[in-house]
Amino acid sequence: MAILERVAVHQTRLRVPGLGLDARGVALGARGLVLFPSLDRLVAFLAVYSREQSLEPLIDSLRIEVVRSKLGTREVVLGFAAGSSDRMDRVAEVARVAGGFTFTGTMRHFVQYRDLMAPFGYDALEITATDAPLALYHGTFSQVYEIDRVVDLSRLILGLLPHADPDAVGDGSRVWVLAEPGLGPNLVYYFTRSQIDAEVGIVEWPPESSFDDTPLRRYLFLVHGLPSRMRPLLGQTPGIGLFDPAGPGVAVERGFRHPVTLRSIPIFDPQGLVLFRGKGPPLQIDQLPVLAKLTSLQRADVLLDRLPAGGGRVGPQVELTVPIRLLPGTAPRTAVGATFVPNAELGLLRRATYVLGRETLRGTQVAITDRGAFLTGRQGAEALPIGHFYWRYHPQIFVPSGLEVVPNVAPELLFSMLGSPQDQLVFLQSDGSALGVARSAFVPLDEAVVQADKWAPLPAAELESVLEIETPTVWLEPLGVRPLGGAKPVT
Amino acid sequence: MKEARAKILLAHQLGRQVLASLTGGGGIEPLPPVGSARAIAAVEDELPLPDEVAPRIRLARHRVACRLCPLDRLPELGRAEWLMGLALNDLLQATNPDLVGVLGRDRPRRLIEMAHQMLDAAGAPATIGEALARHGTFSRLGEVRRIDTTVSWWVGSATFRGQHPPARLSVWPELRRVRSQEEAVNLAAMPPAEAAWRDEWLACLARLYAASPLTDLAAVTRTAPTFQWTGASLGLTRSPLGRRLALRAVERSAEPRRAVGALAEAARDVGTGPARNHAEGFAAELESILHART
Repeated sequence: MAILERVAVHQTRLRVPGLGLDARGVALGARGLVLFPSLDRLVAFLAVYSREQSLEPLIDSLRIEVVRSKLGTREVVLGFAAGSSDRMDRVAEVARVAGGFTFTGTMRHFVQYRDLMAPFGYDALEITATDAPLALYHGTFSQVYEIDRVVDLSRLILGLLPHADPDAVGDGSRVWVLAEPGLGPNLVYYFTRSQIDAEVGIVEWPPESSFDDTPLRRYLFLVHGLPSRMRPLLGQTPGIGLFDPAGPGVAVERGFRHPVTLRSIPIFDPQGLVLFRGKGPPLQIDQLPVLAKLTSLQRADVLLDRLPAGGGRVGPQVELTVPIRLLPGTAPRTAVGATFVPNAELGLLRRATYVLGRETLRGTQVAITDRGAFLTGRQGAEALPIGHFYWRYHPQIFVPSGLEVVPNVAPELLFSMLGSPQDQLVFLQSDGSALGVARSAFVPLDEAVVQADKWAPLPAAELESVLEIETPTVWLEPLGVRPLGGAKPVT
Repeated sequence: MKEARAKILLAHQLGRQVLASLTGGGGIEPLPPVGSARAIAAVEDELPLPDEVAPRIRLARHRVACRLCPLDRLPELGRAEWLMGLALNDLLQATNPDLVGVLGRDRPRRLIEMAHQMLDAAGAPATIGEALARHGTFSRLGEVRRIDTTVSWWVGSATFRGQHPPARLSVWPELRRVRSQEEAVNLAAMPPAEAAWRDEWLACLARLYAASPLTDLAAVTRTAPTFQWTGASLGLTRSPLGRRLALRAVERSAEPRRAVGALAEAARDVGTGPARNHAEGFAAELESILHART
């Protein structure tokens, strides 16, 4: 027996309460509803729908319920604001793929949404008299349902385990790294040494059981531009997890893919972070911790070398410090940051100024010392083809071209080791020494050329040499009662 | 097991208290006399440097070696270098005023004999690389000094050789008219002038120099013990590469001009024959290099 009839063109009266005709004449209620036989079909629906478009327009009105029929069977109902027939068409299309039936209605009675057989939708021939909260009318069945329980979408999404997918690799522009407490400081040092732009914070969760007396603590790094060479190391080291951002406030472990396109489901707080792990439940961070730039957290043990002599007994770590050296480097350095013209070549510099352009003369700064002239410029000192070239290692430190600083410490750290002379530009020499020239000594080259008094030599302040060596000095201790007690000749 | 731990402990103490300061500068605090039996037994196994000073020693040795030839890395301290370090330790302790005591006038002499035994066991370097490594460790031997402090007060005075004077001597400085004077004593002047064993001590120091021929040649202008050509230095300068390194070592020493005269004078003691010709030829080649420079 037919339960439904097709809505005809220009039909004005419908039997199902709350059902009306929209501007195109399609039978439509205030709400849409999709009936799924099980939760996994609902997940499939969400996976397909979120891949194509965002759930944001539906999210406020979205409601998931497990319903029970009179026969005791349980099914899943997804309800949402119908909006327009366009939206309903998209939902119905995806629901068909996922094995669900689409209905429309307003309060309690929902009738099958339109399909190819009925372009204007369906109307029920007879309304079931029932107090049940849900009555569905389909071409093949008519059923009433009781609400069993409500399913929270957030909990449903959080409960889904990501699938292993080796191809799920982000672009690396932003990566979250979660590390065990024992590995955190080493990672800070590793990233700093490799000059990785990253921030770090510490996240805490309550103890997992009452037997634990300390909170669960992890280091959380936000790495910008993770080099591909580091990915295998970080991805395969036990205790370190790599997570690619999958949307605002959510990230998925590298090598895994969440069944649902999380970027299309705006249920995550951007102020917090949810980390979906491949094995195990997701980690939720309600409020992101303060993330500090790594440069402000790098290990400072080498700075102990700078402690004043009266600052107490220096620990054995000081013995680990090594002097900074310059060695020939392999990296191509094309940009010239500064030029040093020795006294012997100053005449050549004077002649060269006749052929330099006005911009170069104005943009080049020169400082004259008793060793020669140091030149820098806004765009480097490449316009001057004379002297010894330096590349800019730090805004205030210059290194001879072709040489690299070893150990490969962060430029800021080396600057600190040199005493952070804010008013000096430091030029490292190939023999390990360092020369400091006061910033105030630099004047525009054009002024220096035309004003003879600006060429007065400025003394170059020799910074403390890191290679200074003391004289070996013998100090003899008392030898006790039997001074040769332990010394025996070979017999 | 216990013996192995004792050997490692000895190596760590020597590295920390003697070798680190010898190569990198600072205070040398010699170990109590070691003796040849313990030293030769200790170097039967490979000895490690203590972690806290190993990088510093490696860097200092490498820096010295790099002055003579471009080298990526220098071998770790070998058996001979450990023996030479232990011999130096006992030589320094032989000058310790506490060693003699009341009934031990012959103790310095016994210690010097044991240092000779250690240097016998070390022998001459077998390769140019070994000579370079030894020079890396002992190049600053001639710079070693000791601070002697003389404290005088209104009724007396006392001299402390390499030791800090006790604080009680400095109390009431104005009332007791206390005056303190420090004097830096170089290595060759460490044995007291009146000591009967002084010549034996200097002979042993000369053997220590000879065990590192590049160091020996680089310090050719020293006043005591005077440089003498030995089998090790003649052997080193026989090979073209060793000769070039030796010339560089002398040429880059503090007084290369005086070195020519010292080498020529030492050549006269070699005797006659090819060895003397070789020694004189070395001095002549150095002179021609220096002349070409000017």
